[in-house]
Amino acid sequence: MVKATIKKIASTLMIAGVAITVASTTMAAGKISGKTERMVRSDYVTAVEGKTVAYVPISLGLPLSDYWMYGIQTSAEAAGMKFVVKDPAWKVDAMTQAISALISDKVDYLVVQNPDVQVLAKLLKKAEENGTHVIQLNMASNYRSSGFVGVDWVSHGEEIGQDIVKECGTGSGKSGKVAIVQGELTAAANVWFVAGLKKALGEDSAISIVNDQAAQWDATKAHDITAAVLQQNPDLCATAGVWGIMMLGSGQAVKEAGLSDQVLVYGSGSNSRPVCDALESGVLHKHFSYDSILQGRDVVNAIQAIAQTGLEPGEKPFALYSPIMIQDSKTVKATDCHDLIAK
Amino acid sequence: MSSITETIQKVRYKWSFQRAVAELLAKRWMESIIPFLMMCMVLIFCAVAIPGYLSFSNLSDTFSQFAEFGFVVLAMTLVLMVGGIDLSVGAMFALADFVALVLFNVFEIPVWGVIPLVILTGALMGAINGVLIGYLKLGAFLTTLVTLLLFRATFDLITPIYAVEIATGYQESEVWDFIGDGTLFGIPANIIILIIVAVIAHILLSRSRPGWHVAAIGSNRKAARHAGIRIDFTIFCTYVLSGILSATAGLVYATRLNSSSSNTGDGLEVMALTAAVLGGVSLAGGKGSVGRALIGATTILVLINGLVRLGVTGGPTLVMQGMIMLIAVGIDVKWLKNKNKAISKIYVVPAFLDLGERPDARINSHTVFEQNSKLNNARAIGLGTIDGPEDVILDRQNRLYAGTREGWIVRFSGDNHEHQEVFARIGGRPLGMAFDAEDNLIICIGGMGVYGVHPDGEVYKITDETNRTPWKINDDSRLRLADDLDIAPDGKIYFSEATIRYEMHSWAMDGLEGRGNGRLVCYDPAKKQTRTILRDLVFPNGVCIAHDGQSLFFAQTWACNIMQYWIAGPNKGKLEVAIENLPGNPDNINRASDGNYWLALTGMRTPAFDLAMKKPGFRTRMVKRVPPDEWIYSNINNGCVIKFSGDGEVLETYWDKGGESHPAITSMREHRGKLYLGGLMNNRIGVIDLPDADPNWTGPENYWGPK
Repeated sequence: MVKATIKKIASTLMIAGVAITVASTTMAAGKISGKTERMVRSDYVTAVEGKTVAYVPISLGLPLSDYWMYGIQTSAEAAGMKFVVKDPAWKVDAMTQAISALISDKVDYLVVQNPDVQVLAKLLKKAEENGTHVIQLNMASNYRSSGFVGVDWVSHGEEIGQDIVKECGTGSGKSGKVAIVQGELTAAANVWFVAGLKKALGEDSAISIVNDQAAQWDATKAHDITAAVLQQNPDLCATAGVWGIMMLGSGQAVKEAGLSDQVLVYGSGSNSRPVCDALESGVLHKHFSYDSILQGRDVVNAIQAIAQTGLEPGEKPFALYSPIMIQDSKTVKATDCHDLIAK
Repeated sequence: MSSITETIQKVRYKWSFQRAVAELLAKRWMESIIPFLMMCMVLIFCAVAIPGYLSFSNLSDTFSQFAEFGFVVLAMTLVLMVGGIDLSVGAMFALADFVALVLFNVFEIPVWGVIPLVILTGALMGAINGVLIGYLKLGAFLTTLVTLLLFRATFDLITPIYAVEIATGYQESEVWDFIGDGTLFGIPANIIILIIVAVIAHILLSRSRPGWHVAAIGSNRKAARHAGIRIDFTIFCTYVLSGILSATAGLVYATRLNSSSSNTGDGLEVMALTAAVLGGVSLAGGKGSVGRALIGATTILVLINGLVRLGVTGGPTLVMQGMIMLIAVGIDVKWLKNKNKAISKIYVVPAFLDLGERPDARINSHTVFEQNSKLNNARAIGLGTIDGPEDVILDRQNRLYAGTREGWIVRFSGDNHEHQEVFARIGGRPLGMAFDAEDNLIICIGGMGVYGVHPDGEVYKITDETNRTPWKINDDSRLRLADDLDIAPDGKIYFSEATIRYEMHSWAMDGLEGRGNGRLVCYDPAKKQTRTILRDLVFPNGVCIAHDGQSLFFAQTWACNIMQYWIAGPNKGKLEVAIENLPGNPDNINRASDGNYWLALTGMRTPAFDLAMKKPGFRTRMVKRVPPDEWIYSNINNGCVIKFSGDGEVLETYWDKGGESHPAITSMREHRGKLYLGGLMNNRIGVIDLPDADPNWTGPENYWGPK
């Protein structure tokens, strides 16, 4: 009886003890995780909230830059950051003025789309020396700043080149004639895209580049260039350029010449409604798309990470390359495309 | 009662705020006062709207981006001033930028080689415009529009060849970087270069002969041609300079941004044109300055920069720019055109002038002034072949000299002065004359100053400016209307300047003011120095050194009196009235052979005008409301010659009753028993015999002794 009682007490005690141990352990664990959580949160808050993100594209009012703005602004404001935008409206002077002003205002983060590799390089360097982190968006400069978010242009060009080789090259039974429509000759996107494109095209001896001219991002110029090329080379197989909106002009020229079935029009850019419409109507044949709204979010994610690592501007430059999806008249779906952002 | 009112009027109209405003408005820099205020407004707007805008670091930063634009606006200003336009500045800028970058980044030529080559490129492009517009006389607008397209197309053609190399190539150079974004004492290096160029351009435009030629051609091409200016060459040079300045801008831009892209310099010509016109550089040519160009450039740039910084998007900025252009053109047309009208409305500022009871000069009045016929039989010399001999003088060889409206000195010789020749061509409006000890003819030239003519006819300048009156708004150091002179025994030339507010063509308007606008000035040939000795004189006119050489007489035309001023002896410096209350407006005074003095009255006083002179308010209203041809002026169409003694007593009067041949007499000169008569508006010189006079007396001998 006694033995049984002792056993009972003992077991009770044991249970109690285990229970206490368990309970105390459980309590302690809860305490530690709450603290960590608060530390993480407070570090984040001090590093991120209230910081200013300034965004300077080449020009607003284009699907690309409007999507970026939407992506950056919504993400930045959701993270508690202030958002500033300057619109140089294609004017390099206005752009340098705006960036100079932002440097002297000492904004924390500067997101810039470079019109060419050189023009802003000195200014961006100055900005980083002045304590402003510079994120170069999609189009970089000769100066390597804190971060780059955007397309991996060389491989992007190569991909399109390889696709053209497949369509027009050896064994395709077509002329192999390709016309390249460049954008701004000295813009990073153009320089590296064309380099990749030419590299891929050069790998097939059946491919000949019959024309290579710059339309300076202007669809009208692209139209005129392509119309002239088609007159000289009615057997053209493909034409490719770095920006889909510009290539709409080329596509229109092909359509006007009644050669939509024969000449493939390649473009690249954001998955905007006009591009999708053009794919559906056959003005464009293939579009290598990236999601600019998500690129905008990538920018803000990068900023939040820089903010919390406490790195000095330009200390550890990094690149975030955007994923590419290939769209053509068969694969394009309405859901894949962003509507234009109403002003 | 009336005297109290008159005293009040006298005081009230003695000083005039209106005069200060009118003189201020007449200043050339007032043409740019509205642009200047606009620039201030834009700066204030930015200072208020943008925190920390006026801090030195921000301004230095902001303006470092403005240097190239400043150069382009200077280029545009230069060609606008010569009456042209240069639409190709933006294209030349882009090409120069490109050339600089190719030379520097691709061919790796050192900076000291790049700079002259780029400037040479600019000069060559400018020379194309210059030859087409200056020498081949093509229209500036269309020509530069075409060259704009040409240069732009060239740029578009050659850019693709080097674009990528430019963008990727790089050469280390401290000088290059210093020009691009270096600073000196916190001021951007490129701004310092701009300031240096601007100062040189300013001196060139406003203080040098080529600069005046530019303004002259821009104001009136035909007149400039007639003045002998090399129009073709000057125009050619301005376009070359425009090219050089645009290229400098391109060079500065290249060093700052190291970039050349397809839209470099796009639309720069319109921006530069807007800035220049906004600054007050006239589209019609002739009017403009470096200061105005920079005011315009600053306004445009500060405004655009302000809008960019305030986050105003591209479209509205362009709209704003267009509106500013409209405002600028509006200013150009309205302000510059109407400013002179505004000035003319308020420029004439009448004062109170009480001349006293008018002496009677009517026939049968039995006064010394009574009209007679002594001049009626005057013989005419040079009838119809001489225009407006204001003063006449005779030399030791009995030759007769007179100044004419053409700016000539005409000489008559022969027994009856029948042989007429042009002795000297000076220009301006020759007025009073005198011979000096060396028989040089010294002449007051209205609009020019005091000049001399050697006996062989060679013209030389004696003086054209005096010391400036302290605190005077308008610069009165230049002589506007040197009127009459005489030479003291010590060789000093004493001359009157009738008015410092009006020019030769508008001297009669000074009479509406009746104010002390004139002065007596002395030129000392020993020190070669010109000094004003008496100010605030009421149209000082004739000057004559007294026979004893110790004092001089001078006439105050509107005050109708003769003053005596001692220049030597115990009374030196004394000024007193010798004759007051003359019946008419006195003009030149000259010595008579009998120790007395001759005085010309150019016109007689009238009761209406005497009354008007006591009513400054009335004259002010008249000037503002009535067209000039209906204003009441002093009577200057009937006068006489008076002889007075050194004591101020009027002895004799010589009239041309009826005013047939010598209505308004402005001067007379006695010579060998004859009296020669000049008139500002006469078509002849008159001569009468003086039976009682010394038949051997001549002026030069009387002054300087026999030779």
